[in-house]
Amino acid sequence: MAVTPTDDLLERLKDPEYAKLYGAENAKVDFAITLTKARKSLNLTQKSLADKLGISQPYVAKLEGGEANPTLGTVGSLLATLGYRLVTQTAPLHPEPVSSVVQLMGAAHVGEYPFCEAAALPRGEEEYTANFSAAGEPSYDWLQIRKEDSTAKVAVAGGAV
Amino acid sequence: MWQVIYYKRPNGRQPAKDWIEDKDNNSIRPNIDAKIQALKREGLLLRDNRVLRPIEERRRRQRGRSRVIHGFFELTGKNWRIATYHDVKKDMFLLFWGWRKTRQSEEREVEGAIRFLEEYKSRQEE
Repeated sequence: MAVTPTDDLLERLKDPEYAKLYGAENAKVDFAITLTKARKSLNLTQKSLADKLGISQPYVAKLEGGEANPTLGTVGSLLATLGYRLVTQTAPLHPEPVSSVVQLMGAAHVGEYPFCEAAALPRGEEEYTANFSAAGEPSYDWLQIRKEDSTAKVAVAGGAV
Repeated sequence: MWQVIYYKRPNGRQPAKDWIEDKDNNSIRPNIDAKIQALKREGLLLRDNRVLRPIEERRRRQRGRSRVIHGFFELTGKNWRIATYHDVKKDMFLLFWGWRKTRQSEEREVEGAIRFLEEYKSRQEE
């Protein structure tokens, strides 16, 4: 059986020192993905997001590239500007089918967004959870199914049906 | 989840694996691993972050050429790149080759990765 990058990573993670370094990088990349999804859900460009946040576009690019190391406070501020707050969860470090989940709790409305379990609730109506699952997006077909599911969930949650 | 594997040459070598495991890359390996796992989770969506970029874009900018190789990307880190190919038929990413990013080395490294890609494609046709 062929050795894959994940097999190699599992081997390296047996070293606690390596696991620490990997954990730090993984957190940065996870946040980068979350921030990009939040930005796109609001139809913002990196430049307009930078203007909104009062930071430079290259720094936004660095954050979205997983190369910046913002403090937790900075992360909170960035997300608050977009109408979100950060919800953290722990999950197994080892890459498994569901390796980690990063959630954004919506404090403001967002447009319909295919990666959210629920979206497009009007502001203040009900708190909703946008699950940016770190696993389980194997294809666009699958995303479409998820999108339909979330539409149904929103209708029930918002009392529209 | 997307499948991500190393490309294996006819002689059994796996250039991307060899490069990642090179001792000179000890310091960047955690970052590489994190990006590969992100590729596994997010796949083509990593293009939104510019963590996954079509290689042909840079080639066009640097040399005024417009050579489009569908599905050929670079996975990017601060000072490293890994050439990867999204095989649509098999729905998986193959890692071909990695390099440290310098202005001098880049073109040569990309050319090398393209040779591996052509080798892979010719073997698929056999």
